[in-house]
Amino acid sequence: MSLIPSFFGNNRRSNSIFDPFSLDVWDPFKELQFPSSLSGETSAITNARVDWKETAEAHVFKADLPGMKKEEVKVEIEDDSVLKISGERHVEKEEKQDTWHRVERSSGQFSRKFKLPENVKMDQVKASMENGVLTVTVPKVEEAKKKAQVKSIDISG
Amino acid sequence: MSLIPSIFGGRRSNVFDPFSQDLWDPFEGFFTPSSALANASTARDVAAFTNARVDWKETPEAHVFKADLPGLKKEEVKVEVEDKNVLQISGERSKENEEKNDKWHRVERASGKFMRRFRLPENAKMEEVKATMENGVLTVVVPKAPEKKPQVKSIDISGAN
Repeated sequence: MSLIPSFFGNNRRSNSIFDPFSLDVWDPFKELQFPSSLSGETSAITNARVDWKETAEAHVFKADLPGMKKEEVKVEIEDDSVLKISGERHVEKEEKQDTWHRVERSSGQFSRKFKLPENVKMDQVKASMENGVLTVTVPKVEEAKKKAQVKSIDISG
Repeated sequence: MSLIPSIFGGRRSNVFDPFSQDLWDPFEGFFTPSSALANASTARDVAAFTNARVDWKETPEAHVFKADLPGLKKEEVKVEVEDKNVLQISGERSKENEEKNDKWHRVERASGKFMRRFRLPENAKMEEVKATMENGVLTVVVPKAPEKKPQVKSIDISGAN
C-alpha cells in the first residue's frame, strides 16, 4: 500500500493508515494516542478512511464510503461534542457456481468517532454524499475579536 | 481451452498484490519466476500508483469486475482493452485544494493515479465490455462466449442376441 505524499510538511500530516483506535481525541497531545474503551470493539469493525481538515470557518470531514448510499450511513452527535460516523456495507451475494479470481474490497460495519473542540456549532452540522464520499461540515463559532487595547505611553525625557 | 473448475470455498483474499497485471492461467495460485519476470517492468510502475481495490468474479455468463473508486466520476475513469485479452482500468483522483490556513487533524484517504490490468481467458467477448459507475464503485462486465458442447453420437452396440 502506497504512502500518502506530503507536499506541505508543516500543514499536512501523514497519519498512520491503520488506525487501531476509533475515538480520535482532540487535545494538545494529539500525537500520543492512548487506548480507549472502544478498542475492544474496533477489531471487529471495518475501518473507514477519513480526512479531517480544519479551516478558518469550519471542521470538514471527508469519508471514503464507496458503494454506499446515504440511507446506509449514519451521522450522529454524542454528548454535544463527539461526532460519530457509522454504517454497514452489505456483502455481495455469492452464488455457488461463481469463481472468484480477486477479492480485495472490504465489507461489513464501520464506526468512527471524533471529539471536537468547544468552539463548534454542533447544532449546525451538515452532511452530504456524492460519488461514494461522505462530507460532514461542522461550523466554528466566530471568535470574538478582542483586540488588545494598546495605549501609547509618552516618553518623558 | 478448458476453464478452471469452481472449487468449493475457493474465495481467495489477496489484499497486497505486488503485481498490477493479474494473469489468468491454470496455475493461478502459484507464483512462477516467469510471471515475475513478465511483470518486472510493471511492478516498478505500481509503486507510483495508488492501488484500487478490485473484486473479480466469474459467473457462468460473464466476468464481473468491481472497483472501489470513491470520489471519482465516470469522466475521471478509463476502461480499456489491450491486445484483445487484457482489461485495463485506470484514472486519477484529483487532490483536494489546500489552503495555507487549513489545519489537518487526520489524513487517511488516498489520492493520485491508479491503474489495474487483468488478462482474461480466450472465451471472453472483449468487444462487448460494459462499464458503469454508481456510488463510487465501477462495475465492468465482460460476457463469456458459450462453450461448444462436444457433439455426442450414440453408437449402437451389436450383439449375438
